Amino acid sequence: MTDAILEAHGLTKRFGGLIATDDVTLSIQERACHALIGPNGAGKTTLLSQLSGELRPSAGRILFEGRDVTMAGLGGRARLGILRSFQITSVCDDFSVFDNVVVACQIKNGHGFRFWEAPRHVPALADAARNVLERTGLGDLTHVEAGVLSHGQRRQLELAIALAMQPRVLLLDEPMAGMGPAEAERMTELLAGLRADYTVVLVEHDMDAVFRLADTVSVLVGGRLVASGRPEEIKANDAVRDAYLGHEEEGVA
Amino acid sequence: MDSLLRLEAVQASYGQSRILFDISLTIGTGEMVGLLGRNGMGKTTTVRAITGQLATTGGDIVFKGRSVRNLPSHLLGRMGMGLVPEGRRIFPNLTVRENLVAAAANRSGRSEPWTLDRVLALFPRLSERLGNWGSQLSGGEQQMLAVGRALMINPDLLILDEATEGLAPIVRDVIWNALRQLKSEGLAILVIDRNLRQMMDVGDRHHIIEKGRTVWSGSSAAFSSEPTLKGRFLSV
Amino acid sequence: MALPLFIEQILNGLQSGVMLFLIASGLTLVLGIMNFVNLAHGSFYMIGAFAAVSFQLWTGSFFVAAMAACISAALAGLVVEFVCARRLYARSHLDQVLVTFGLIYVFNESMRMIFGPQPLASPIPPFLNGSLTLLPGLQYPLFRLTVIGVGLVVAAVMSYIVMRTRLGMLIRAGASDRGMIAVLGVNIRLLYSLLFALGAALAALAGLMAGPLYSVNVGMGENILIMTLVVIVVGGIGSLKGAFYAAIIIGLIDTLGRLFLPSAIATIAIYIFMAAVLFVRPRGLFASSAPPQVEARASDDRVTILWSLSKSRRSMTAWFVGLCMVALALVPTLSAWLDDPFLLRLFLRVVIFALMVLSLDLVAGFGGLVSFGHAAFVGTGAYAVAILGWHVDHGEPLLLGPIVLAGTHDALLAWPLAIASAAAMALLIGAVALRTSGLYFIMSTLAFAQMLFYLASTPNIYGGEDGLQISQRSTLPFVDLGDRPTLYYLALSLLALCLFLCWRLINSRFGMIVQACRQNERRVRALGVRTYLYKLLLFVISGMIAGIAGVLLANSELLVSPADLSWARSGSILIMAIFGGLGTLFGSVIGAVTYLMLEFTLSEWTHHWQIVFGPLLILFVLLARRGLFGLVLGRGSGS
Repeated sequence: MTDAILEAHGLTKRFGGLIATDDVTLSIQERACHALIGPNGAGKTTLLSQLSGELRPSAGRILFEGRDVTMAGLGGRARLGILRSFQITSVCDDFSVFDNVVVACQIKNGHGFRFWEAPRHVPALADAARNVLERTGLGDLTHVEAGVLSHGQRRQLELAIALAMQPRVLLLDEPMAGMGPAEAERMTELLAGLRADYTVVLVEHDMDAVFRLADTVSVLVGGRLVASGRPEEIKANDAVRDAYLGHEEEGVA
Repeated sequence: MDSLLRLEAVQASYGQSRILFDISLTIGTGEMVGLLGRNGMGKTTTVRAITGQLATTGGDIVFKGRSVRNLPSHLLGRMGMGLVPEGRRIFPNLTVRENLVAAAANRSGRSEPWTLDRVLALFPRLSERLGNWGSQLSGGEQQMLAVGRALMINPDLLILDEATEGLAPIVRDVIWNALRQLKSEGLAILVIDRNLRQMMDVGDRHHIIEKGRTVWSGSSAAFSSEPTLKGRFLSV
Repeated sequence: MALPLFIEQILNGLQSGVMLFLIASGLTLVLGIMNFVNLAHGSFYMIGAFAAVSFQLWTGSFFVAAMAACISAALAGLVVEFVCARRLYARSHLDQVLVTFGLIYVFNESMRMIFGPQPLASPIPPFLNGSLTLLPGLQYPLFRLTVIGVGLVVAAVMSYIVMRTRLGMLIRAGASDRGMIAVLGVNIRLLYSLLFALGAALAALAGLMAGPLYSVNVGMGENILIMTLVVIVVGGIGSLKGAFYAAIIIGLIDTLGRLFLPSAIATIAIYIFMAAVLFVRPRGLFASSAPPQVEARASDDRVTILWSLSKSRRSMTAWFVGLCMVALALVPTLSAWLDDPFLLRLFLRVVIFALMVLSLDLVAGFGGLVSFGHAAFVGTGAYAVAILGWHVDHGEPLLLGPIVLAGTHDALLAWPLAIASAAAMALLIGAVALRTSGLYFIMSTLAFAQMLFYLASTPNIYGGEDGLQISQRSTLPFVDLGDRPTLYYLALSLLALCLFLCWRLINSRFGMIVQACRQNERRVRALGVRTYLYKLLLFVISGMIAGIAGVLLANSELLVSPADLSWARSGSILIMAIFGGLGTLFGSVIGAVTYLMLEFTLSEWTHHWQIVFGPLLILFVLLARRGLFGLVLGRGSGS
């Protein structure tokens, strides 16, 4: 395939006797949004964790721009530009929103063994941070302490931190989880705005969002990749529907 | 109606984010009630609120005629709530037998209490694994063990959060058959599961939760007669 | 060596090992299951010993005394659990450490009030007197054999309870998933109280058996506690099996080490062993394979972030800090005016301690690294000055491998060397300790500091236990440090300089990363930062500041002693930091002033000042969580 920026070949992950990821092969196209869907426990987060380097696969390879990065850890892949956001929001609560993003900008900008100047007063870093904050809709909250943000705002901040790292590939784990409808809508808007500039791998339960954002949808069931294709194909695919819904003709409860 | 468990406009939040806005539901003695809704709509949170694992901020929870809102979970367990939690939460450093007997009790003085033998009769598969550590079980075995463990405290209400999630079809049937049997023996059951056919087949009534609110309540028959429900609240 | 002697020593090692196990078993269960650090566990050991002696004198029966000792300790345990521990299960380890530290004050001082400061003699019960011939030429005291026997029996019973009984199942289940066991209708709180009491009783059992072997005195609990902590860290927190094997290994190393190793190394052999274990297995030898259910809680709940305060608050803060510094600068004048030299002495001490607290605040407040061994770096700096002075006074060159130093009193030479030694010590200790986190970090820093303490206490040319006198203050060109006000002004300037540099540091790129690590290390690592290096450098910088404090301390007291390295010193620095408010920088000054004034006032008032100070400390931790500086500033920023 052409333009694949991130590829997984025969990825398998076992936890004891449990096979969480079962021989998954997929390729992520550059500057496109690739959604991973499937029922709870299908291994979406586990797969994402292997792509991000948090979990080491039991078998299989992961290629980034054609280079084998299977053995690189979370930090190593972050330095290459593969960034993940977490299901459980993790931002620095005592920092202001601005500082949260400035730190990320600063990390992107080089090592942190500089002991004098406050990064928030370095014009280049401050501008970059303000830019990202505008883009993620947090422009009005710059000086608010992150700890007092609402849930949805925290998710936005989480996204902002990832964007500040100027990622080549952005792995998003349920960015809409726990959001109210209005917040989810705003997040969908935000992500839609990023689609042209970033490569995004998205794990999400909100199907409205998935089908609106994704260029490619892959369906996981019981750790196996059962289908991968354009959203319309996936919607129309009976096998996918059956597998995803359980068995026979059943709804998702 | 004499309900075993009743939730009235329950509200709850995790830190800053409010999850439950208005949850109302009832379960009668010997009834099986399903809790339906898409992922992330508050089903598990509801269960956590019922079992005292999450403090509620409003509304009331009445169990066996007594308000039990924000009671510590061990008292609720003693009063007769048995939980099969999401993710099963088997004790990995205890053997299968130990998982079953560790907290076993018959506080209501039932004449035919649940015993190790009865649980093994319900799930024969477990008898081969009695000496294994909890961490060595497959997902299906873990789920059987979690159900057995809850039964061993002789509950009056069995709550299953994701009864068959992530299990092979054969194992799902094993669990559902067990639930069918438990119901026929008169045990009240509150169940969350994605297997709608079984839910409608075995369950008496259902509540649909959407964004932290109970949006629909009714019998299996009523659910089936409203085909739009599925599309509106449950489908992908 | 003769075989009988060797066997005898093995038995001695075994005997001290099983006693360690008796104490460690309770502590490790409490730690592993309730995630509660109880530094006062050693007090139960002491209570056991004292109770046994007095009941034996009263009733004349060893058995009655033994029973009474265990029961009194169990009751003390219940009271502690009920009054303090229960409120602290959900709090940070730092809070737990401080409250139980306060409890030690209370227990020690009350024992001293009841039994007086003299050690008590505890007779060996007549029926256990005498010795047994184990082999030809090998006589072994019956009492020690009994101790080994009792210890092994208790170990077997404990292991039976934990592995075979319902209670044990619940204990193990509680260790892996507290919430789930409660859902099943088990009153986990009751189980906790029971465990707590059992742990206390076992410690008392060790204490009552220790009575006849060693002496019964106030403070016996602390010495054994440190050894116990080493055992637990080596064995793996929460693992009974680990505690048993580690206790035996540590007992043997300690005993045999004294026989085979040069004395300086023998006293620290177990710490070297612990360092090696932590380096290879940061979670101990037998750490449970189950993932820890509660990650170590950092101390961030009390952190006040100065620079996120609103502008008006910030200028108020600046005014406040400025006024305080001016007030401190006026102390020598005031002291001269009042003709009260003691005032200057006291505040010189305050300024020096403020530096120590500042160095701790840097790691604990901003890096989230609660070091319980910070006195080690202060002491290193102080000893370096003293040792360099000793060598020049005695005309003996100081040999450091290939380097030969003549020794010096010259501040321009001695001080940088002293600060560099403190930094090097921080690098060494930090490199190992930072491989661990949370509780293991707290305990390993404590143990390493204790290692230095013992090293300094062994008889050596530098005075050993008595400490080392310094003949004169360091010399500086143009400045006469022999003049106390001059030394004070120098110390105060250094404090101001360090405060300013730290303030720049924590706001710099480096500081931002370090602070981000405190709040969410996983996140920072996920962004590709090698956090270990940052934390290590922070630790070294902190060590340097502590070194400066040490240099000043040596110059002000003209005496260094192992007490400067002791864990009691580390503890008081930590308390000062909490008093002032962690993560506030300037809080260090407030904390030092408050603590030292309080200590001074209370000790003027009563000889048993610790009995007042302990409860004050406990109350402070339980009630005022943000420190005095936090109170001065009021609530931090908000939206």
